[in-house]
Amino acid sequence: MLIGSYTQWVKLLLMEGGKYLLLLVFAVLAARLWRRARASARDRGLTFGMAGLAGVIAAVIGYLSVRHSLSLLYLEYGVRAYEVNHLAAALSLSQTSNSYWKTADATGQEGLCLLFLGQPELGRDMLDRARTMRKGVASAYEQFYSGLYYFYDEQPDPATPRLEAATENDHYRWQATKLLAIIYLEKGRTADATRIMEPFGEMPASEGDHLFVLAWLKLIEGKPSEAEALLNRVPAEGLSPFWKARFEKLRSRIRA
Amino acid sequence: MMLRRFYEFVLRCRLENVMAVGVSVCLLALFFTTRLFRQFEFGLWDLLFILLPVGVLVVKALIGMLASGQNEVGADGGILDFFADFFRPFAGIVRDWFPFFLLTACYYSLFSNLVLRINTRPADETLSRIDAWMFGTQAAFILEPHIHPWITDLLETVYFSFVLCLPVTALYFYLKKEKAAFRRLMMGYLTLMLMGITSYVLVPAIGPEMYFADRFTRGLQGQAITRQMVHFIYSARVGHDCFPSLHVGIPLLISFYLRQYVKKAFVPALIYVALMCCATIYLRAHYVIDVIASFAYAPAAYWLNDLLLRHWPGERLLYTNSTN
Repeated sequence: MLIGSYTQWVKLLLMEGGKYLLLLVFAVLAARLWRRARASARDRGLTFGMAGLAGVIAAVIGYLSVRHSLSLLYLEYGVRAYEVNHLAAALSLSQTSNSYWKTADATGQEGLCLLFLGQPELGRDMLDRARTMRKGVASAYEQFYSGLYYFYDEQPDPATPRLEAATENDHYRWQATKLLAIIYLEKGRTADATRIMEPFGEMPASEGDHLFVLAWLKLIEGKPSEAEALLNRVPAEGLSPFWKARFEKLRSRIRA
Repeated sequence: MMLRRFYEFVLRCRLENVMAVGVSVCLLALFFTTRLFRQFEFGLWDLLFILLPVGVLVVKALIGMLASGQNEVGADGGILDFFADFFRPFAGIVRDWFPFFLLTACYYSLFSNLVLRINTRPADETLSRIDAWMFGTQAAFILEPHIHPWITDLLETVYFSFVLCLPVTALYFYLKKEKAAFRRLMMGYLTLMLMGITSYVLVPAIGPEMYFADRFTRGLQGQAITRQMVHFIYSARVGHDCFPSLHVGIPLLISFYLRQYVKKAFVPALIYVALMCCATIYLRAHYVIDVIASFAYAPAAYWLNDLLLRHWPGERLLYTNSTN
């Protein structure tokens, strides 16, 4: 979320560079003022005072900068842990990140971890807090993963707006579109499903959910044999109970 | 009388300051008066690489102050003199670099707002036809059988290193206190950028990689590190920036200045330009005609920039003051 996107990288470099450069400016100013106060009798008291003030400002900037940097670092590791499904570790890292510097990203990350760890009430609360911290806007990352949670929790109504929002983001567009197409198909909104899948028509199908959507669309086009052939490309033994039930249901519709 | 004084004041200013203020005011006016200017997609990447030398210079100045064993400047003066002395080097750095930073930002804004608005038809077909007329087919297709991971890695590194060549050269001139060389280089770069951006707006093209995407049979097979570089380059691009190739044009322009100020670096710079030419074609970023065009644009920018600097009254004044 933070590292990986070009814009985020540039912002990160500018922000980190700016913070520590400012720290260096005040630290050097404090040192120079101190040396001046010792070298010259003129305005000695004032110079010592200003050296102290510059030193305190440098210390405050340094303290806050280090806390902020640590927060970003822990959040980045939290995101990485989350993306390889180490949810407990991701939760702990996001909480540590928030303890150094409270950010909407870390709060949202904490919310997502809690959702998937079986504490949906707390998770939703944290996601709402993250949204409030961003003045009512949720990040594409939070939209996609909360949509994913509701999708697998068989709650298509809250999943739909979240996945629709996630399709606006380049990074999540494809994954969100597939899941959204499944929701549309299950709700009987076949025209919407066809419309959102149209831009990906040339994409080679190898993933289970993609093959599932394509098979359903073939069935709608009145090509049941092609639909079944697509379903048969997915080995049944590798499917989770969630997908197994859906594949069986579609198969029986094809044969009916 | 007031107008005349203002006119004389403008003429006495440095050319880059006048250009930076002029272009910024024009952009602001366009922003508030037309519907053309509504999106500001700055090339953050390029701006970052102008800021990089500024950061290096500030750190150098600070370390210099800290390491200096001399009595503190202004020790005998008042505290205000001390602060003036402390901040003077930073003010100097900002004063010398900020106009170029502002102009670069304005140019990117100009480009991102106007591309495909002045000329809505991409020129890829025409450019690829010129290449086909020269070679019988596209140069990228001719090179396709010779794709090898290590060649891709080498040329992608060369292609990516482009973002560093201007800031490093400018920083070198600045640190060597060759202010004239530094300003000529930066102004030359901005003249070339303006010519390039005008050309991109009039002749927009996406380049062979995207235009012929369905006709390539092999990927470039770069390794993980270079794939990341390519991702960065493509994320930072505004798009439709093919004719001419500024990836070749800017290093070529730099080589002209190096020939004059750092003779030893001229031949390596030409080798770098040659490698960059190969990289742009091999990596399918440009048509051959784009590369050829950059060999016309770079000398033209060099000449035009020198002409401007020679005839601008403020520059003549600076020159007279520095020689006296």
